[in-house]
Amino acid sequence: MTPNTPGATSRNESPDAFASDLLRGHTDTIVLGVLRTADRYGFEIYKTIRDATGGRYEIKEATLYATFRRLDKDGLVEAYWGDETQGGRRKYYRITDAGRAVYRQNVLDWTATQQIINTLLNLPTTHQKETER
Amino acid sequence: MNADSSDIHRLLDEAFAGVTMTPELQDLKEELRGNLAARSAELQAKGRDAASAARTAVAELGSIPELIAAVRADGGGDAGTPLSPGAAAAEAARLHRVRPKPGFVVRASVLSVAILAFGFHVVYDLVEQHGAANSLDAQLWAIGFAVLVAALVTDSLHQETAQHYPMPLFRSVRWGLAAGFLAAGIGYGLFFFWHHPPLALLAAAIILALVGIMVMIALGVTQTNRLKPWALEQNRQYEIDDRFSQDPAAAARFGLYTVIIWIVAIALFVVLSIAVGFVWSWLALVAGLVVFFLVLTRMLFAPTK
Repeated sequence: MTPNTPGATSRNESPDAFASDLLRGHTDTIVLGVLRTADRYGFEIYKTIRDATGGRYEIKEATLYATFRRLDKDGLVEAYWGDETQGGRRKYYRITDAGRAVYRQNVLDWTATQQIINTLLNLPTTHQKETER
Repeated sequence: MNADSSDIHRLLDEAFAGVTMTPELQDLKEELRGNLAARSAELQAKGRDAASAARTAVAELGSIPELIAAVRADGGGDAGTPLSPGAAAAEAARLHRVRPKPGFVVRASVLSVAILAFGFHVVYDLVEQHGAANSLDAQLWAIGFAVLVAALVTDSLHQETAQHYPMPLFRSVRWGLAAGFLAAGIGYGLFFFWHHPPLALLAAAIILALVGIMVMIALGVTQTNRLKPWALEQNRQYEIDDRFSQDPAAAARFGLYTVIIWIVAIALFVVLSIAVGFVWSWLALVAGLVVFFLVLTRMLFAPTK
């Protein structure tokens, strides 16, 4: 994925690999979350996710494009072209009301799941709800 | 900024080379273009040079063929059908449409007005103020006129002729300079004919005009679209649609028919010349010509099934 980052491949074999599998299942929700505050274009979304995790988690850009198309088809986001006149035009994504509803529902689901898993793994149930609302 | 992203255009075109474009794929390509440009700009801000930044951005993206395949599969049946030539051309026209930038329109208007004002002043100096044209003041007006012409030409040429591909700055500057030289040369030439000043001025006028013309010729003969991606794409998609290039056997047959037609026509001509005389015999050659062209038309533009 990132040939310029030494150690990118070795990181995939580290324990983080499981986490990124788990994370990948939530790509749609993550993207919706990123779009909640502002309309963004593809690379901006990618960058936001990359920077928010301090570079620990990089969604494959190719995966993101599949996500965009799926979200667009399901009516959760809508795409429009920016009016950049130079370089490349940017395709921006805007979250729809349906998208916001799905996001809220997914966050609730995740919180519930997280509590169940924490209970089952005998971890202290932390009541941090940092991502909501 | 545009020069920097040309690497991306090239890499992207390579990745999409040979792919039959559909509206969905065209959309994907444009989206990738914008995102790659953004990533490349980010890398360049960290001190990478344009070429390596573009390569890295494209490499990081992952597999473009997979993306293309995904879009294909996504779109179902209709996405797989290639655009008809007309629709493809319309799509290309839409993508390469040029939107004039307000800044440029304003600049061009202001420059044009200034050129008119300077031009009038120069002509006024020439015609009305006979002696004054020798003065430094008149010279400054004339130089100002040439500089303004150069500026307008440079600015206009540097505008985008398609969405992503303006003329490179350096080339448009050279065009501008050539136009400026030419304008100055013509100005000095006119001045000479009106006032007969020292010959040195005429020499200067001729040299200026010649330099301008030579630079323009050099620029003109080296001016092509060959590196523009859509020209490359058109080359790739160009189908040789005249029959003789597609079907050499047809060309060979036509060659034989031609020989037969002309042998018959010339034989007829000779026979008629002897039997009837030159008054009518030339009709054999005309008939031969007509048959030749009918056969050519019929064979070259044969209806395909």
